[in-house]
Amino acid sequence: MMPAGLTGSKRTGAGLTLGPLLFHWPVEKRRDFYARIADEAPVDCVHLGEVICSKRAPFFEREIPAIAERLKKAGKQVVLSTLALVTTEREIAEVRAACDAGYLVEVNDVSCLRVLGGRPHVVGPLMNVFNEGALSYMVRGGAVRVVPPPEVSAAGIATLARAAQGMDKGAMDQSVEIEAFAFGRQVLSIAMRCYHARSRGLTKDTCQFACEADPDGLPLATIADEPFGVVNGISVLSHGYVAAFAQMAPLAAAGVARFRLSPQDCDMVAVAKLARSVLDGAREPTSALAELRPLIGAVPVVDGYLRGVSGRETIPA
Amino acid sequence: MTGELPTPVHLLKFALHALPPPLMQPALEGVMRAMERQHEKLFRRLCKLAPARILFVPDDTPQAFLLDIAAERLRLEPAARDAKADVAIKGRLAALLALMEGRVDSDTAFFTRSVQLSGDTAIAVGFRNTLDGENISLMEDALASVKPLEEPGRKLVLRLDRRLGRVRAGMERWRDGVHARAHGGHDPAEEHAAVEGEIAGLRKRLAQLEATVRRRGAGGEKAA
Amino acid sequence: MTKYLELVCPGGTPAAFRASVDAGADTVYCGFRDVTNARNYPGLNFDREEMAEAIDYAHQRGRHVLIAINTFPRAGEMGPWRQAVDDAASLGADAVILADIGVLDYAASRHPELRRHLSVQAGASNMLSLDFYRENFGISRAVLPRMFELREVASLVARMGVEAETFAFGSFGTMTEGRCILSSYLCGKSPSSDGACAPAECVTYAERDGEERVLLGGMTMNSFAPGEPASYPTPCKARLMVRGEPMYIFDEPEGLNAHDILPRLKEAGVTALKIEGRQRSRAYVTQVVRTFRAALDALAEGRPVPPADLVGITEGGKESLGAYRKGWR
Repeated sequence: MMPAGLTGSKRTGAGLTLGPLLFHWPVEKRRDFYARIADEAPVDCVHLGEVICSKRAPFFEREIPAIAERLKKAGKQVVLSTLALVTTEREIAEVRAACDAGYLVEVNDVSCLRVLGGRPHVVGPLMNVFNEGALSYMVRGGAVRVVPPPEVSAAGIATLARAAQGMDKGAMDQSVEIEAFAFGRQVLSIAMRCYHARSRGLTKDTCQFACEADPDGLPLATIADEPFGVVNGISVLSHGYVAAFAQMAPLAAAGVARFRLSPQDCDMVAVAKLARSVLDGAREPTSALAELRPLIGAVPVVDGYLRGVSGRETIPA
Repeated sequence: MTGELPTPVHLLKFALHALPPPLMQPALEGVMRAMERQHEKLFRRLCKLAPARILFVPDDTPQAFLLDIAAERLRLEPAARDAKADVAIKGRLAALLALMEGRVDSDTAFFTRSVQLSGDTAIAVGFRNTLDGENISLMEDALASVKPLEEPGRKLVLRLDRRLGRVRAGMERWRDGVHARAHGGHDPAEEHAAVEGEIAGLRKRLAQLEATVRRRGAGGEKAA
Repeated sequence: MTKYLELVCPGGTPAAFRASVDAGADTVYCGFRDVTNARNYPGLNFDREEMAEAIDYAHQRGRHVLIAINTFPRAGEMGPWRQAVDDAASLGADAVILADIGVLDYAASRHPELRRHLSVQAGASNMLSLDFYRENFGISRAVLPRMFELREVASLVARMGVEAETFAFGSFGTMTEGRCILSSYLCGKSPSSDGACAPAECVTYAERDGEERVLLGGMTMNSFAPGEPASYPTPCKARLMVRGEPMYIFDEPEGLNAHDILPRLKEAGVTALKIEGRQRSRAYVTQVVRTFRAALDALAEGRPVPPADLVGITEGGKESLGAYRKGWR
């Protein structure tokens, strides 16, 4: 599972994961995106599958096998992410289908655990695994990798990573891996209502895929013009991108096995290269951050949750 | 619904206008000591909020009050309307009293904008929630604190309370014209006017009592 | 179908607890005075002695007590939650309301005899999730999230295999409970681990241009003209700028009142109705509980349900059927 052949004092053996695409991009754009990831991005694992809205899923579903094949050929593990909010029979059927599609599955709703019935899986950041008690239960239930929720601080992630090492070997006969969210917008809320639809005076059922117009989310600001977050269908995401370059080495030292990069509408190959070089000890976190800024335009970089303060806090200068 | 009992408030407002400054402080001091005696547990819980200075600013009286909470004591004193405090709670006197006695819900008071906060919101909320943990009647406590007033004063207030209990629902509708029209056949306004008349009479009697207290106070006998 | 729907009412303070019992609650839910419960606001909740007294007060009158231990412990800090579960058991609570999988696991293995209810914070939003919690942690009841239409509630209740408790009155957000961290994003404190959404310590009010501004963690959530009804300063009730226009993008400031659909909730097979509001006062508790007591008694006895007049104490001064209403989403 780990990239081989890493040496050097600052190098960590930690891997990189490209998380599921949370936005509704047109099929063409997605196809190109994953082709480039397969060919150029130094990530070890790529998540496919729709997390936010079941109405979006059909647009990309039939592309998944071919893209997964190409990613595997490029040496990347493929994980199929599942829905964050499951309520209808159709959505339950989708979760069942995902669990039987032959991929390692990422659980984002408790229902998926019930379907898996102990088969190996990844527990995604939308599950509430806040503490070692919940982590231990997940491991006994077949979790091979767990991504703590965005709210957990770096210290909390380190505590979980240390606890994980002491736990019994999980379903894949290896210690459960802790994966930390390291780049992109954090999911702050999930709802039954679609706010993209509501912003256009529509409902979830009549949404006309309003979310497609905002490939990086629809910005929200307070009435005093302070940035609040972005709407993405039924979810609200952080207004800033997380960039956890500074926390990568200490977290890896605490036993964090992987770092997640969440796809944003920017050059993700370049982002992955920056993250890889920080993990390899080839770049200082501060210089990686400086190189990141031009890649992400005006989007601020936040890391408040990792520091145990308000999530919206930007990285101190 | 507001849950306010307006009549005792009229009396209190009257007292606030009538009480000469030298008597105000002992009276407030008395209220606090009475509360300490009668609600010891509440008193202890309030002291846990220390240090905190809460300013009450009634819209409809010239006088504001400062509650100074320290580790072992509560002190209530007359204060300027812009006195320095951690948090100021503003609203009509009736709304402030109703809020403190738990007769009106604080969130309701906020939703309806009948009470406004400025400053440290946590202190105000902690104070309100702590106060709501026990049934208190500030009126009763206040009366209990001013010995000479106690018996006749209590009778007056109880009488008014009974009278008001009967017309309270009607008064609430009276305040809300829409409701008043919807409840035809019953004229709360008329009943309210009758109560107002009764209050005027009682006020006069209270004024006489007040005068007695004032004379005794001037004679050196300290209230409770 | 049960004749009497169980009326589950808030006990934020010892006095509000007694008010709930006196006004006709069948069951009162409450929490310890710490981070283990989702209404961890200043001046609220119970120390151990107060909890013992409250349980005694309720039991003497034949009522039940549920202790909410429904937050998510932070890594390495499970002690207080375990202690809370142990104490709930030893104090004789009739059930605990739990959300975190680690806490559920602890309670199920250490106190199998103590009834476990699944908190709304666990966000069980479908049959499979309910099955998961029932099979793994032996829950006896689940509090359903405030996100279903009436027909969906009925469909779940018919199949869920444990008792269903649904919300009948009080404030509600549009986000799935237990899955919203907007509050901690803005002010550092969240319902998940701190037990408080938009806590008072993070809220400030400021007068500006004749309007009252409400700020959370220094961010402006709303601004009210004089006399305009206000709502909670929670992020999901914020008035925000969307494509340059101010709007309530998540939800209007309004509160839930399911009084008008009580017969239909009963027909659906719901066991218990929950009144929200541990953060609210005795006055609120008394008024709401009395109203619903009268309604449930009438319903059980086949009389017409008397009308309710609760709009005055409702958030934003406006009532709604919330998600129960078709088309809400």
